[in-house]
Amino acid sequence: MAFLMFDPENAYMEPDPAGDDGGLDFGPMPGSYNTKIPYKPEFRKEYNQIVADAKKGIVADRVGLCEPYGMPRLMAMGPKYIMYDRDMIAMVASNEMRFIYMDGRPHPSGVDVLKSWEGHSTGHWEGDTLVVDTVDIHRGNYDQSNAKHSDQIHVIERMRLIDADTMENEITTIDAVMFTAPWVVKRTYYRGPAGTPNMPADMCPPDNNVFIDKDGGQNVVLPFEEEKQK
Amino acid sequence: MRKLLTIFLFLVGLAPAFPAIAHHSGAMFDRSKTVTLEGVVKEYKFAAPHTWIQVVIQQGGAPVTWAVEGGAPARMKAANLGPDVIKVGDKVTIRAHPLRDGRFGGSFIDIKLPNGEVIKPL
Repeated sequence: MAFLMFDPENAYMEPDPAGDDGGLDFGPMPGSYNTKIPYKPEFRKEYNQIVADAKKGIVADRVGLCEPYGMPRLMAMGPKYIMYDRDMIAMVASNEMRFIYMDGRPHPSGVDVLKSWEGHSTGHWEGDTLVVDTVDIHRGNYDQSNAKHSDQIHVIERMRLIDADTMENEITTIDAVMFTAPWVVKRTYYRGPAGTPNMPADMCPPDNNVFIDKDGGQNVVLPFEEEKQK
Repeated sequence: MRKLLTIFLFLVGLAPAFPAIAHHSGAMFDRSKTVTLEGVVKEYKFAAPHTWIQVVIQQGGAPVTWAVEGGAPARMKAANLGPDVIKVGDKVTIRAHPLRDGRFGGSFIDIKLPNGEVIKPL
């Protein structure tokens, strides 16, 4: 099964030679790529190389090394648990949390700027649409195709209910370093069953078993190798 | 704080019972190849984010341990492959996609249990 690309509409999924995945879900197959990212030529070239390397089994998505998904990738990953009061909205997804300040405060400036994985988010309502503006995000990638973004991105989200149980999020990403134009994608989320869900507890364990191989790609430490190292 | 008001679950069109969130790419496994491992369960590590089954097989006349990475615990349990089902000492046959680099590891496809039942997680 291959899914969870950041831009579901323009994601090319490499055919899976195995047909399906049995017990292990790994997201996009090696060779999958997003076709509509408005990269400048030099970054397009870099991304094409990343996709070509993945086809050969060399994948360096740093989430495998326990980096958080961060923004905006988090909005493509897993269930979201949304809590709010008058001045703040909090979204829990995986083991990460976003805070969206609704009290009118500005983004930090000057010495107060502090980059983080989720960035600094402010929000306001435009009619029935929640508009969220996020800056100060670490460098990272959009999805498992390892499409990279710089640490200068500016993300604008427009979230609204399109029916009682469906939320649409139009996500615009501006990357002054890597893009020639803003990149707009839409994602759709369905309301979960009533009640408090079991939240996934899937964060990396202390003995995370992924390492970077000599060819630069991810590989796994096998349990009996771990025992030998101890 | 008024809280816990809304829960939005997962994504577009695809609705697996358990949203499986991969923590690493599967590119180190060669999905065009399948190995069949007939042997005895040595360990079943039932832990997030991925489970691991170690199985000892006879390979070239000697016992060799293979380690097979399975899905998240919730997913394995949903397929009735919890730690109460796969037990140390069980004689099983596991199919897996092997590591590209030739070490004795693979990614889980399905398992034949001692009672003959073959289980493949959805």
